[in-house]
Amino acid sequence: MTISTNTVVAVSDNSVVASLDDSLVILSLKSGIYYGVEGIAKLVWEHLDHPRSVRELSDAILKEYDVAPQQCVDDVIELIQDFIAHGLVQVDE
Amino acid sequence: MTIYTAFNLTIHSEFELPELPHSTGSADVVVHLDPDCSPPENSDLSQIISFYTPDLVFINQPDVGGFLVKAGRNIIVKPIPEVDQIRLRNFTVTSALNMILLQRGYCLLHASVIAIDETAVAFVGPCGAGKSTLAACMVLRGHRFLADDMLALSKNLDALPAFPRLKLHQTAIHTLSQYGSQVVSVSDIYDKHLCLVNSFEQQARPLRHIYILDPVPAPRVAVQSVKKQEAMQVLLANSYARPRFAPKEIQFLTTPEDTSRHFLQIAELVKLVAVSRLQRGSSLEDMSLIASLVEHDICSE
Repeated sequence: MTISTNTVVAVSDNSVVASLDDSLVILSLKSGIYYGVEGIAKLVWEHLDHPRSVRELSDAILKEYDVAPQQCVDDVIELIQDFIAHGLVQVDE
Repeated sequence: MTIYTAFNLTIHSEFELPELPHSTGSADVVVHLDPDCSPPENSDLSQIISFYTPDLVFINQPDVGGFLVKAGRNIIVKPIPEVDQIRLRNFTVTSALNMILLQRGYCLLHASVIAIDETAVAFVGPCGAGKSTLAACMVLRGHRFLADDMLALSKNLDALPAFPRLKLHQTAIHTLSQYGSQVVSVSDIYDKHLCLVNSFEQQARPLRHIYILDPVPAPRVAVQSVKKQEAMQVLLANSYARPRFAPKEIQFLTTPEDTSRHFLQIAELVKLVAVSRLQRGSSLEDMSLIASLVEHDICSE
């Protein structure tokens, strides 16, 4: 699936999240597998409290981390693709 | 009907369950014998858990019989002809009763639990890691016994008192006998001895600490701190009716509601209760050293 900066994504109905001290654990109800999420990935997830575009997500990261804007967009896209592949996030249509 | 108690539930049973302490009062759980009890439609009798919806479970144990467990309240038993009575009782107070607890929404973990002062301390680990032996060792050092093999946690994370029985290997009994004979062997089934512990704690106690027993022998006995993510992983893997990670026979927890509820319960547990790893050597004699280490660790908190 092609993800661009305008793609809007949302947390999948099949994921359950729990917050531990400095990380999140996200369970995919579909696969029964759970994932530990820290750092930037945690920040991205926290901004998915409602559907957001990749652009909005990467802007949120840029406010907190000192990275090149294009690098940030690339990283967010890669992360979102990873989330989608594991059934944790879906494209909001 | 004979009236018993286990896990703070009053149990009325049509057959004797001498494993459980006697009690009085109205029934939370009723155990019936019914020779006509049949599995629900669509049961897959090649499986032990042959039918599962949250409120209706059929357990098919070929050498014992069929158990229909309903709505956290009824256990209907159809024993096989000339069933071994000890096996029948043992299965009723373990597998069938565990299913009742699950239906009642308790969080269940494979753990042995003792009470230190007014709080509960649990030992988690795979079969053979020594959790029952360590619990027995703690009891012989003057602590009270809460549960063997199955920890049932209430919503506010109180460890419920199970019943005063502890399963130990013969070698463990031999090693522990040097402490005295509070542990009395009552029968041997499944290659283990089922033992009576006199120091049973009858009150639910808030869970204070979980120790993970490492199955791999370490060069020395030690307590190690555990990251919360790792603790979560171990506790999910040691959950009863855990999603996906379970051995096949208990991989039955299929509804998304059950799975997510259990996942969130374990996350809550990891946030609120201390979890450490206990490394140990291979010999049973190490157990008394570990026991003193646990006491020291708890006291220094």
